[in-house]
Amino acid sequence: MLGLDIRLVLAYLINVAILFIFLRLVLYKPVRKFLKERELRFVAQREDIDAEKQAAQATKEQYDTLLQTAHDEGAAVIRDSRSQANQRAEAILSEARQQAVDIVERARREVAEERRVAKQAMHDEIANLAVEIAAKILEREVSAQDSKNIIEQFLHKERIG
Amino acid sequence: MEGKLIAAHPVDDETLRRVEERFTRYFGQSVTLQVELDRALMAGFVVTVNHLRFDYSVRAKLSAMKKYLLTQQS
Repeated sequence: MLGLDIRLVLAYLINVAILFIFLRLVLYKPVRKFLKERELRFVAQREDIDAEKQAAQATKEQYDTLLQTAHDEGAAVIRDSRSQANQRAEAILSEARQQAVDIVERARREVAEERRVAKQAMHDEIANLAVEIAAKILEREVSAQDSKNIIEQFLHKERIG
Repeated sequence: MEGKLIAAHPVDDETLRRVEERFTRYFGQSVTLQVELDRALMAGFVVTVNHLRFDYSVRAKLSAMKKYLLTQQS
């Protein structure tokens, strides 16, 4: 009635069905399988990447922690060393100050002792000189009369000795 | 008892007798002194009797003075 041959239409439909089945069997399933596998591979790779990324992050955090610990320990060591160096320097300074005080005190005592010895030596020398001068004067000045006077004084003393 | 009188200047007999008399009284027995001269005494005399020495010389006075001065602290 419309000029359509029902047999031809059926043949087309059968052809289309066959083609559809053929394509589905030959092309669609392998491609879909390939895509599925590819997707799974991507997902696996993605998971691997994420895992590696997490591992790297964990390693980085571990390194950061270690670095921070090392930094803190280094800072503590420097702080302790500085503190010990300051204490040692203070001790050395204190010892040096004490030594200086001791040296000054010793020098003062030595000077005082030397002064005392020199003063005593001068005193002794003056005493010797005074006696020597007195002896010289007496040697020159004393006379027989002086000796006689001494004997007379002795004779008039009540006690001997 | 015999002794010795060392004098810086000569001693006359009368003075010697008086000195002997003085020591005789001191010791309670007769003392005879032999006179010697020693100018180093400067003046005065030294009497030695029976190992006892009595020094009345100017040299002894000077020695005592020197000893006194040297024992004084400056």
